[in-house]
Amino acid sequence: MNLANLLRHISLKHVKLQRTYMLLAVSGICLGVAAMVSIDIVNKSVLQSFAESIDHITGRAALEITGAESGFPEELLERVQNVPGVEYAVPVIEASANLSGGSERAFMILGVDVLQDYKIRSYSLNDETTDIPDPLLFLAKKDSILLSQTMAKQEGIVIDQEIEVQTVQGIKKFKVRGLLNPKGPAKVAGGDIAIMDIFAAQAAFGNAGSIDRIDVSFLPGEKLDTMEARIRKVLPEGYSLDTPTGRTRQVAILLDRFQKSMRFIGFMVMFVGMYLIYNAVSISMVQRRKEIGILRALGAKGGEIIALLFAETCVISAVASVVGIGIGLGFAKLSVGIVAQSITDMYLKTSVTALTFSWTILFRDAAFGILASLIAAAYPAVSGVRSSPISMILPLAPTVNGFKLSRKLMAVSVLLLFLSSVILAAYGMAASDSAIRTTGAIFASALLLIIGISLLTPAFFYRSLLIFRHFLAPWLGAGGRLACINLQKNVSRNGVAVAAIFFSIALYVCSANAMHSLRVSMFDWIDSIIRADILISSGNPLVVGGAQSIPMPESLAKEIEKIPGLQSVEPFRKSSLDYGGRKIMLEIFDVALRMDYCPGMFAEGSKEEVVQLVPGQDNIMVNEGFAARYHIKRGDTLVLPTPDGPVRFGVAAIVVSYTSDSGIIWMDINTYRRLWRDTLVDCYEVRVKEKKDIPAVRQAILDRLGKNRHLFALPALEFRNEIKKIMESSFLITHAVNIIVLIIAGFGIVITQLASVLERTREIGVLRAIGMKKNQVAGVVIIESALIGTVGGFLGAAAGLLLGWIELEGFFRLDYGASIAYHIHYASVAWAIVLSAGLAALAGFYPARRAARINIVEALTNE
Amino acid sequence: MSIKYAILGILAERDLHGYELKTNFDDKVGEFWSLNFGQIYSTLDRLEKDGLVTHDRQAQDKRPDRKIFSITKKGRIILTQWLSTPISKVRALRDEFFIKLVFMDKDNPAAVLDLIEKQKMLHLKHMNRLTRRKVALKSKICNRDTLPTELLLDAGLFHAEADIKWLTLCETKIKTEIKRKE
Amino acid sequence: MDRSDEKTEELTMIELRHAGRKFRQGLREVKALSDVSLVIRKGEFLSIMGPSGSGKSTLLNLIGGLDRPTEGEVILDGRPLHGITDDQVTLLRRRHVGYVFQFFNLLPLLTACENVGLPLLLDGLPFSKVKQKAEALLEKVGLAERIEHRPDQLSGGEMQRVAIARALIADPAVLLADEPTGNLDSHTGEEIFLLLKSLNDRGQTIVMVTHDPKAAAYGSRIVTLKDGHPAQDICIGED
Ligand SMILES: Nc1ncnc2c1ncn2[C@@H]1O[C@H](COP(=O)(O)OP(=O)(O)O)[C@@H](O)[C@H]1O
Ligand SMILES: [Mg+2]
Repeated sequence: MNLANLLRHISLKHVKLQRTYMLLAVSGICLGVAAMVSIDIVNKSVLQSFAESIDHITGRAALEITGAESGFPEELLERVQNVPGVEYAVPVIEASANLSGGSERAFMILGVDVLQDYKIRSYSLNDETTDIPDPLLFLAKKDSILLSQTMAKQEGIVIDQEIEVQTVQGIKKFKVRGLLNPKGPAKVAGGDIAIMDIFAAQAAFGNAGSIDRIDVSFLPGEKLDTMEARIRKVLPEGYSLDTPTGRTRQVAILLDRFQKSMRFIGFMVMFVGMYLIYNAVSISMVQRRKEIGILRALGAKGGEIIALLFAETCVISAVASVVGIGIGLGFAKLSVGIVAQSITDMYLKTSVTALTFSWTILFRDAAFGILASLIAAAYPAVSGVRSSPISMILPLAPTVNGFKLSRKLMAVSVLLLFLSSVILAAYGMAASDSAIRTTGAIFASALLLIIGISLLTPAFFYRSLLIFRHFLAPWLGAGGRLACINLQKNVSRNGVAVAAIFFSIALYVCSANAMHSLRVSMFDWIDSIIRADILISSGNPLVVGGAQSIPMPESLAKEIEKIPGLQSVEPFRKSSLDYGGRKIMLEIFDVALRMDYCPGMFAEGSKEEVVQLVPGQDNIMVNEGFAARYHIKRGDTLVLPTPDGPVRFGVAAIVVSYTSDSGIIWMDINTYRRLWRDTLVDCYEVRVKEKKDIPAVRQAILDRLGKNRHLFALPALEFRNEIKKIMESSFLITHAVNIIVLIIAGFGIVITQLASVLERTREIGVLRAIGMKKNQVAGVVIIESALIGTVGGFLGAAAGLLLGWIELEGFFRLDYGASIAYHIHYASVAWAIVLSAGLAALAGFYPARRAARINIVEALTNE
Repeated sequence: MSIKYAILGILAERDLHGYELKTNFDDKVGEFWSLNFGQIYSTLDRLEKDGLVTHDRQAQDKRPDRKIFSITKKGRIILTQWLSTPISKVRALRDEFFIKLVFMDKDNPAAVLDLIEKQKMLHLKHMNRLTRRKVALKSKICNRDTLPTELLLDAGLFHAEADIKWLTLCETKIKTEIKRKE
Repeated sequence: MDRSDEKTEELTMIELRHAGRKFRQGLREVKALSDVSLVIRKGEFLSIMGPSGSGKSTLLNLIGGLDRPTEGEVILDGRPLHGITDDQVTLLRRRHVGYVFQFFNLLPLLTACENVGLPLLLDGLPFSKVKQKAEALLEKVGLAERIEHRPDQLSGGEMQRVAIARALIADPAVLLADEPTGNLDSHTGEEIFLLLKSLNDRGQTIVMVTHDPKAAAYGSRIVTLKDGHPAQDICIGED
């Protein structure tokens, strides 16, 4: 009741009469919530789209049996079928394909048992299909294919038309026998899907006699647990048995790191937003000091005032959160494509067609925004109300910097910094499997560092001002000295603005340096592993990462070798297998040959040992991430599933590889072909005798082999450029967030300077009266802003350099498992400092204009 | 002297006999200026001699006739002339208290300070009295024009205030003098 | 003895018993008030005089519960201001004390009417109920035409009258004024004093701090302070 009165009669007036100010205060939380919402919604949408496509594809199946990616023998099907309680067990092949010519559209081919599959999956053929195809006819003709209506319409394909599709065997012709309504599997991947008979699909896209998956449905009344147990009994080790939701979960695990880092970015934005709210509340405490004093004198209790300020913050941040949700949904719409592309490039093919709307996310993020605002408001509100009413009514003494410059605060900040460095030192010295080497420890240290420096900003700012006043101000004339004096008047408030700039610049420098180091390491690594001159692939120019290619037959090697001027042709196969519940990437190549001309990068072990131990034998190499996750050292053994059951492998070396963050295994191609009986090849790496022949050889390859299949023959240089493009696009979100953070910090300066201009209206009036020009007044304000920015920039650059290293350690070494050398990007550091000063000066423009426009007479007459 | 003009001023409003003239005078400026009947009649005589005032006789039942005084044309001219001329003589400082200060005992400032204090209190009490009269005047509903009286009361208040302020200054200066000597 | 005590009790509005207030300024200790014992009766118009720095405002703040004595005690309308929490003192202030400051201290964003109603709004009353009373009070102080104006649209005298109306809205037991005309010219000041005096005539207890003898003369009793201590106490009877 009371509170409602105060809110209605006092807070509302502030909103009505001080709009600009409110707007700025709101924008921080607004952008913070927007960033969180957009990131959460995009994350959720990505997972949801996977879940949905898995749902559509699995249909009624309650369990799925999968083996290694390259399939398993068909005879297993019969065994599963005979398990009591099993209703149907149907085989499935999933392959990727491209239309040849035209849009080169990539799509998924689902090879199913035409006679049985409708029992598990629902297909609905387009009504326009005049004669519903006879399954037997469909079976009899190996070139039969069903397309989704969506895709057919977009490509202008009609029934009975012949289409050309790239397959393992090269370009083949298929006849469209029917169009599928967008229902069931036909909805998957936005309709980029076609159905074929399983045998035809085997022939065209994989190994005859092996299947990718068995989908199993139960008789009514059978329990999942008992069925799982029964089926597992008949399966050899190494096969995974999972529910469709389980498969979604696997995708979630795969994308876990990516999504975590995105969430972390969103959180960072929120954190800067908190600075802004803190700034706004503490400034409003200064401005409303007298108002609060009057209210207290008239009989408002301290608790009531605090409640009022909290309620205000609550309402304002709630409004900001709602607006932020709106903006966030907009951001999500804009960024979902970029994110999906990043995931496709780095993990697995994604096509997110719609945003998943989730009230839980919206409420959670809004609540987080409000909570963050309340936390930010707590200190200024409580400490502001604690002083006695009379002292609040009296005009503020000019240098009340009290707490912010107090010894106590300095001590706390120094303590935090000390703790942070202790953790870092302990981390640096600890053994690799010690308890302290965790992401938690490294981030605790980062957080302590950030908070420690934030608390230190007022003191640091004060010292910097002294230096400025001494050495630089004389060059700037009266304006410079005045700016310095003004800033010194309220070090605590300006300190918060400095802190906001510090934080955003730190974030910028940190990510710039981390990205730079990643780039450098990545290229070093690519150089170390890819020494070929031309990379030949099909379906997709890039075979690393999650990109899906259309494999080529082994026989193609012979044909390539016929081209003159070649030194060597080396096959590369990419696959994956299930290990410890994770999808681990399997990279297969001719180890002996590769080691002959590539330096390789070994974390443990050596080239010589590898050449001795790996080729043709049951020994493998694993990357650092894999080794760290499963605590594997050189010389250990591990069991991997193969189509013929589990096989024990020895680990010959730990290598550096960045292609996947869930773990990478390198295997010799001879071993792989022996155990998996898979002779397909994803990429041929070709070396040319004379470097100058590269363009000619490339042309010759395309001319000779590109006729009956669509080939990509990328010179290594272009390959590197493609990789670079992928990396840059994955940094896009980070860049966007950096910009948002900088904008918020800029708002912080606008708020601070606006408040400071308002506060010294009278003083500016006096200065104008005794002959200061408008430009001079504005100049002083801009110099002040630039000073705030520069100090923040220096602090931020210093902290950012350290944080960049911490990020590499925390995110990449520990979580990703890749050791990445830290490379300082000096240009970004210099740029950050220039940027902070420039941005701050820019933010000062509006307050400066306000200052210049102050009416002299009014300023002098007002109390 | 200005009794002459005061009487002319009163008579300019309407004709009055001697007693009425006295009460009217008291009503308007009595707070600052008290006159006895003797003074009034002697002044009226002088005014009549100068041709500024005349009188009529009014018969009464049991008592002797009353003189009703009225202002002449010449009297009005003189009065207007006087009213439009500012006073060139500034109030002279020949207060009794000032004489006391001159002859005060230089070795016993405490007694002087005590005197000052007492004097201040007297002034304050006086001011309080004036204020109460003013408040009463303001709250009284009467159709008579009270503004001149009010202004007079204000003048009294301001003079008293000036005296208090001057006394306070005396006090402070004497005190600093004492301190300087120690 | 007992009976006379009871009688003074009945007539007493404010009582200070050996009240003192020290301020610490760094290492130095400033005695703003020391050992002030004072009884203010109901219906009295007390003027507190003294040079600046003599502790007048400090004394008034003690009486109004804006500040607490470091020694001694203050009793307001039979309610001791010591030994209770800040919130309880605040409530006493809200309901039993009306404050008028030298610098008006109106909230700049609120209209005259809202400013006047503020203490009752603080007490949780809805504005619809407060509005009538606030308007009536504004009329009483002669501001019927200025009800919807904001402070920056009012003259100094008008602002102070709004402040007085605000001080009166809760029907306080005592009205405290700290140099209420320090910022006004003599004529406007006089109107304010006449207003206060008329309130006093209707039974309102008033304590006013001033260093202006003209202002003090409106009181029915004048206490002068010197260096934090009462020096003179003149009661002006109805002589
Ligand atoms: N908050 C405070 N801190 C320190 N000293 C104070 C404070 N308030 C008042 N004083 C001191 O107490 C003395 C009396 O002050 P005050 O009551 O304001 O005087 P007055 O109102 O009579 O001018 C002064 O010397 C003043 O410096
Ligand atoms: Mg004072």
